[in-house]
Amino acid sequence: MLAALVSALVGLAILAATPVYLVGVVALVAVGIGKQYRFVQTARTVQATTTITQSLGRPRISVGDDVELELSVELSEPAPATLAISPDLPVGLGATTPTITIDPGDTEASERVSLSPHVAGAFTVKKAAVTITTDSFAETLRMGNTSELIAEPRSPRQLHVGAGGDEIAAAYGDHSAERGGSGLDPAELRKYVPGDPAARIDWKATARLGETYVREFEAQTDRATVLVSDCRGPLAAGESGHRKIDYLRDVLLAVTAVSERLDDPLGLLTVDESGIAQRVDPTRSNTQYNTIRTHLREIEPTGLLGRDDPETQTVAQTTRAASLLRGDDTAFGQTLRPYVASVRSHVERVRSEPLFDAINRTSDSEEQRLFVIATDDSNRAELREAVKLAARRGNQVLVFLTPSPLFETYALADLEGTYESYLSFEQFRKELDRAPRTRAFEVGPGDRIENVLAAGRRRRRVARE
Amino acid sequence: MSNAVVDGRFLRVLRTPATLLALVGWLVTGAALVLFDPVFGIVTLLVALPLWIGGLRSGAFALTQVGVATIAASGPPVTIAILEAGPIVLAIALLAEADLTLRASVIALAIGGGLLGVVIAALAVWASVTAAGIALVITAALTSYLVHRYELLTLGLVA
Repeated sequence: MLAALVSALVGLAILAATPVYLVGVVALVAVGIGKQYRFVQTARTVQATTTITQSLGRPRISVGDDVELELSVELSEPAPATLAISPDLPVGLGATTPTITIDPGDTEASERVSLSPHVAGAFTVKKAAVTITTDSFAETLRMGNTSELIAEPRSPRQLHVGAGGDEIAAAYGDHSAERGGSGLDPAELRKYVPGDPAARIDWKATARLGETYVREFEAQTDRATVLVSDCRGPLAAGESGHRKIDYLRDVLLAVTAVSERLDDPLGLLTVDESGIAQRVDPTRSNTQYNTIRTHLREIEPTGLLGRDDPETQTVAQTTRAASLLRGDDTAFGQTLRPYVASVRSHVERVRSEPLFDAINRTSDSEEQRLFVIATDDSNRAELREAVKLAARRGNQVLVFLTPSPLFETYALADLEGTYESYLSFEQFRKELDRAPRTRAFEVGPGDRIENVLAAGRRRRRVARE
Repeated sequence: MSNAVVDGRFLRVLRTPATLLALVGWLVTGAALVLFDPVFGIVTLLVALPLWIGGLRSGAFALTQVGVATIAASGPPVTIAILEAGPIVLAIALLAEADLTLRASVIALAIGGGLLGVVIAALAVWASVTAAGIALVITAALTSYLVHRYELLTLGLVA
């Protein structure tokens, strides 16, 4: 309006060649700029006198749960203009952004909004947007505190981590240095041998035993731990909130907590159908542990649920079969020979698999590492080779496996059939467990494992009778 | 005139100091305009006054200024000064009504003075209303931009 009038007056002044019209332009512009300056003063007053608080009912909730965000606005003196305050809610919290309006003269207002995250992850409610509006001007300021909401995936109940149905008691992820040193935890006393530093002599033990003894201490290690999370299609098997990935995620979060407690460098590798989806190289910092936790909470399986994976043979089995069939000229031998003729093709087949490929790319580090592989048993040949590869160069490997039979829809309907499949899984787990520097554990719903094992015991009892 | 008009809006409008100031402006302008050109003066006021009361203050001011400028265009400086007294009082009333602080009012008047200086200087140098108009618009836009930058800096919206 003002700009149009100014333009009109300038136009008239030029058309009529009369400078007196410009006096009106000067007056209107002066009034406009005066109002603009007054608006700046108003905005500064709002900034100085307004306190905005955004508080969450709880900082951590599970996906699908509700939490209230309370937005309260307080002014130490009456509002000089109309204020519209809205919280900056991130996408995915399932809430429409509310707006609090404070009219001139008001001093306080508050509003509650219910948040219900649909996906897991960390959500930051940023500073609230305060829009100051007068008749001619408007400005938006960011004010108040930020709040962080952690939406955790629904944790599966009855998480079982163990071997052969027995739960392990030790905290997984702990590892000893397996060598004496000069750390902080006392380990043992031993006799002094020439060359031992005098500072290590335990004088009390020496006085007590009559000979010179030195005290050994457990060395502290800072072995880098690399979490390898398989996020391919088969990990989506199971009911919502009780999928394979949900159980494995809990285990990996527990390992992260242990690494943080031990101050070990921690890295993460997530693997999907196309290969490495995410790679976080091992480092040791609070940010790193939190970053990995965030990634773990957000991982979701991708790709097809089923995997075209027959129980393929190992390289050794293939080589042995090839040598046996070499001299066999029967129709049987001639038919089978092409399938085992090329060991190279077998290795290449496995090499092209994402998990193997991912470990292949990260296991050639100079320093020794602890690989924590979380996957299932749906691609045994690949996992077998991947574990061998990971355990090279003195690396240690922890494998957490979800038994596929326990996650099938018929698992509880056909307990005996499930037991048979579970036995096959257990055999495979033991095979991995026997590999050098490798420990393999089963991860799954404890109640189902118990039911399946009970069915097996019943069958054996019936067979004996 | 109905009671509602007498007791209500019209009297309420008159109560505020800014409106009383504006009323003085109208009287001065009206008297001067009627003195110089009765028909033109009355027509201008009959259109401008409802605009002012209806809330289109700057529109009413602009129309009055048009009336003054049209009549005063061929008059001597004394005539222009007499006729401009009304719009100047109206401009001050506009400032008062915008609830400006004393500091903001002083700044606005100083800016007005500065802009008037730009117009006079441009007329003196180029002897052209077009050049003066362009110089005025550029200076006004630049001043408004500087106040906006000051706003952003003061509120911490830019580094």
